[in-house]
Amino acid sequence: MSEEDGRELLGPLRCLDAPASDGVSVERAIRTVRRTRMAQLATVVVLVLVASAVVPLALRQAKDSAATGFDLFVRTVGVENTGGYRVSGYETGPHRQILHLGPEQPETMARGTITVYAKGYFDFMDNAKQVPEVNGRPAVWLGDKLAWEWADDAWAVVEIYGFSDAESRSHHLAERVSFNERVDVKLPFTMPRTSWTLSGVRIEETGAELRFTNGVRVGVVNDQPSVNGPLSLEERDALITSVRKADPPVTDPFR
Amino acid sequence: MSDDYVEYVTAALPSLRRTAYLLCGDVHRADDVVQIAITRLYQNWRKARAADNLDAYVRTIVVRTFLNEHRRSWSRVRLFERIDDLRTTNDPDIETREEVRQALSRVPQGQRAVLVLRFLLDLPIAEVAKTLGCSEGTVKSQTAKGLEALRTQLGVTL
Repeated sequence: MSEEDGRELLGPLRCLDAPASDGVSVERAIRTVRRTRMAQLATVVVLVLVASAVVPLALRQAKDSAATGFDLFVRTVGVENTGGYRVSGYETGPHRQILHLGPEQPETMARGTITVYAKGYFDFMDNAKQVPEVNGRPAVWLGDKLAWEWADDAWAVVEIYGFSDAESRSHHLAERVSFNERVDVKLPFTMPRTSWTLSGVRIEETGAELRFTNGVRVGVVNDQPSVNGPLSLEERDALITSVRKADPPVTDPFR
Repeated sequence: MSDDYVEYVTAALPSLRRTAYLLCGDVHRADDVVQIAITRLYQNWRKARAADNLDAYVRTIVVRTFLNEHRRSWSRVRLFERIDDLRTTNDPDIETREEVRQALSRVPQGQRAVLVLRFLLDLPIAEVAKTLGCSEGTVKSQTAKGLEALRTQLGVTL
């Protein structure tokens, strides 16, 4: 490998210019810095005023801060040693994350979900039956599912099917749920930039999709583009032809 | 404070966008990198203006922004703005260029940065090392690895 090799290999790019776009704005850069400085100033003022409240906040458990909401592109929930189940998919959303469970052995009917809600996004009925704590946290049986308080005022729910001893199996599963996985969501496809607001991501063994607040879902299923939701035929066709496999390919979106 | 900053950045923008585009291989991610870089530049404008070589100072911000920002959430999605961006062409020169551009974009980021700085921006090894904050030996080894990766991507054998 020599200097000449590099020049020769990359020669075709020497005249390459960036395509025209209006994606960079000097005014925006200035505005951003000014806004940040104002915010920093305001933060200093607020910190001085509420200094006495800062220490208790800092002492709160890390998982309590995660309980206020979720990053759509980070999987924070995980489960291990599920005893008959395996994770077959997961969904992210601003206020909840769901792990979908399928059978570890294909011949069994085991399936279920583990849904972790952000603070204030799950209420259970009054007739809930108190059951043994889950890892030292209050838990209740709701007739067909187990709920437990995984952080202050934030609940998680295990719901399983295919077994008669659902309550004890749910408890076993709940004790093995972790809340600080921090795994980046990897999408096996790309799509055009849109002005739509993202509401969540769903990853399954057969594909993945992005979900938007306007009801549109764009993804790939069994390597084929999939577009659903309130779109015109033209918009749908244009989106389908623009959905591409990720490059480099995502071989295991669960990791 | 803003006038000389605006004047400098406006003049430097084509070159900054080209550098970022060569590094990212994607115009939208390149624009994101440049936007972040010029924001950081404005934040540190007094210090930047006093630098011996302002162009080198700004180029360093762009390259390090590229290397640091690859985990931003939307960059993981690798979006295109218009479906027009995906059209193909029959011009062999453009096809070759596109092939090399795509191959380069698959070379690991650190090695790609070294290749771009050395062979497309024609910077000497010492300047590349300074830009990346590493030793000249690292630049040389990353160059060799980067060229090997590029050859593999292009299917070129020695």
